[in-house]
Amino acid sequence: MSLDVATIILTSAFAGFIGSLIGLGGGTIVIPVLSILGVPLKQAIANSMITLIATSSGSASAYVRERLTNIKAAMYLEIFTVIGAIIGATITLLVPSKYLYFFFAAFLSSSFYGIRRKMLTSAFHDGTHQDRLSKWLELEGNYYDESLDREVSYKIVRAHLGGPAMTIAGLAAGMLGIGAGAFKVAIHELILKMPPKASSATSNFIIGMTALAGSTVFIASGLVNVVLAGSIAVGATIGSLAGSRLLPKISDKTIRVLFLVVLIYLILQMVYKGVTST
Amino acid sequence: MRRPTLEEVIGYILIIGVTTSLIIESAGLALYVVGKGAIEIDLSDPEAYVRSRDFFAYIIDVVSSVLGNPNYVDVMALGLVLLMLTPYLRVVASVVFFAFSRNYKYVVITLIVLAMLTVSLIAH
Repeated sequence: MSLDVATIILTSAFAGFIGSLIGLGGGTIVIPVLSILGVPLKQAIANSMITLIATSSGSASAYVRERLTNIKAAMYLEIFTVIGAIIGATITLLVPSKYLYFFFAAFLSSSFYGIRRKMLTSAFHDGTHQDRLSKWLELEGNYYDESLDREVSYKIVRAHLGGPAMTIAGLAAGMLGIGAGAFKVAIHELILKMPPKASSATSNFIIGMTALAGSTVFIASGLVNVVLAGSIAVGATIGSLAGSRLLPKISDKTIRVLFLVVLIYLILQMVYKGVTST
Repeated sequence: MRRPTLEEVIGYILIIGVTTSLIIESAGLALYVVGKGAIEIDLSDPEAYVRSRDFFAYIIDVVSSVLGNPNYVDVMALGLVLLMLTPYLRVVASVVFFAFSRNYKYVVITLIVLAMLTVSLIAH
């Protein structure tokens, strides 16, 4: 493989495709591959971050209209992820790359949460009693669930904990140029008690904003190459649009096994890069 | 006429922003490949890097270059600028929508997000 337009488009299309099927950003695949192709890690992070806006917005446009996305919850949580992402991106510009490799490998492991979650059929409880802040913020929602064939309505709780926790998700996303989708989904489900579909859709929506916040820092850093970022954006957008259309037709198990194999390979690569870089 | 819901407004902003930037990026890549006669990405070419402290001034630069005598760098930069503007406009639309609905709590929340993004876009 060499660093050329075709390789980058194909890799990003694969990442966007798998990403949209699993519900994770494409950055987890694109960044290690760029790094293997010889792009310095910080540059890979900066260029991949901008393209997350495309993959997130593409699928979010459908989820928003189906009312799966909780816009109010997203707006409230974005206050925290935006702060986190701006700080995170700034840290990345300042720290030595060696540490970033290890941090990246460790964070890739959090993607396993997203995969494990998809294997469980989660029973959701509605009608939770809300605390005062969550109620004041009007954090509730309802949507039509096709697989259950009924309206699902829910109330979000513990907004005072969910917000600060999202700062950490934003921080990691900004530092590593990824969506940190698995981490965001975990906060939505475990702390805020959102139902799985609303949780994934809202996480996806927030990723676009976190990516923009991180990009505001990287765009000024002189690391963004328009040909590289443009190639990733084109590939990832096409891949994620194709993935969201094919989703119902592909066996979940095949995708997960494929993704796990890719993920383990990339984690090992990043650890190796971290050990050998000076 | 029925006023569109916030979901519809945001849904349209997102899909229009992403498809427009995809088309422009693809055109820029085509110009690059045809112009260079090669598909290699040259990371050492200083021309291909975005250098801007103020994002909004950069938008004006990019738009005026594209309207003048555009090369692949300008076209691809325009695609990236549009991509970055997509979530930004989504926040602006939300502020306006919540103001029309007289939901002042959420006008404040969305304005906080908008202010942080704007400051970070201008002041780096």
